[in-house]
Amino acid sequence: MDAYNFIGPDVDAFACNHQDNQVWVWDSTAGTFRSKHTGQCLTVLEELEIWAGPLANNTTAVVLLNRGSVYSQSITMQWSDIGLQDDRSATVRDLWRRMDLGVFQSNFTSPIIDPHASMMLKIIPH
Amino acid sequence: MYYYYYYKTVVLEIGNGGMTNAEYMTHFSLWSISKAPLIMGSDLSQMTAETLAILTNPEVIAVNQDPLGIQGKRVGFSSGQSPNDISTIVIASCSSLSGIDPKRRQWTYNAQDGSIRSVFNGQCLSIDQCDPGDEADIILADCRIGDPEALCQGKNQQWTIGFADNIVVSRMNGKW
Repeated sequence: MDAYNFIGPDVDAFACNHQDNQVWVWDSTAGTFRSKHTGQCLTVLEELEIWAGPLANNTTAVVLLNRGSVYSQSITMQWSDIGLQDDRSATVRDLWRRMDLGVFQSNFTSPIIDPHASMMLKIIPH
Repeated sequence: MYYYYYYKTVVLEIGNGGMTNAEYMTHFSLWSISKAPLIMGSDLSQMTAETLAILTNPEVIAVNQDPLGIQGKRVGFSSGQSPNDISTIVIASCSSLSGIDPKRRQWTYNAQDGSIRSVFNGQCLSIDQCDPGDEADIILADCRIGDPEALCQGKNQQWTIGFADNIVVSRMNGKW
């Protein structure tokens, strides 16, 4: 197990090199693996992120971001993530493609988003 | 990969190489929603059509220039949708101040079956392929050690922690 290229953050499997980026200090009480090279802990990434910010006219800008490195996944945002009541209908617009995706209630699930890729939306409540 | 942490201090890297167009779009989206100054940082005389299209998308720029002027921020996480929900493994701060759920950096090791299980969701630390090439990703996946139907029969989920040298070696081929 190897801290990628001595800096991470990715962790990979790589031929043993007997260097610090492959040294992991296992603390069985705390349950942590600490990289000797960076001092950081082996961590399960929260890889599907929802970013949002209010805009004028009571609309909201949203970025759905796949921060993972390996898997393409869809991302679901809840209206509650942006302070909108569940029973509200809202038009969801794709800002990069400049087209409306439809009217949704309580949540929106994106198509599959590749690693490091994202989708930028505008949520327009009715 | 974590370039967007620095959005307050750097110009846009779009068109400078080293990232895919999808990554440039992510970069521009996060700068835009964060209300960061949009300053081109690439050689304008060498700009590709794709770079120009990213930098001039009017609806994305409009978010950045919105009159309300309130910075967007991360508001939540989505759990994976697929039944075989698989997660990326990284190294990150061990501090309780990091905002990361502490369970995400806690593990249990079973020396008998060689599993390293996440306290967060019980899944196993796994190599994502059986073919012993030069390098492979380490991910989190459902534990299937000893399952004849599983990827590599689950051998990609078996590890030995060397307590003398603190090396964590895969039992799949002993090389990693």
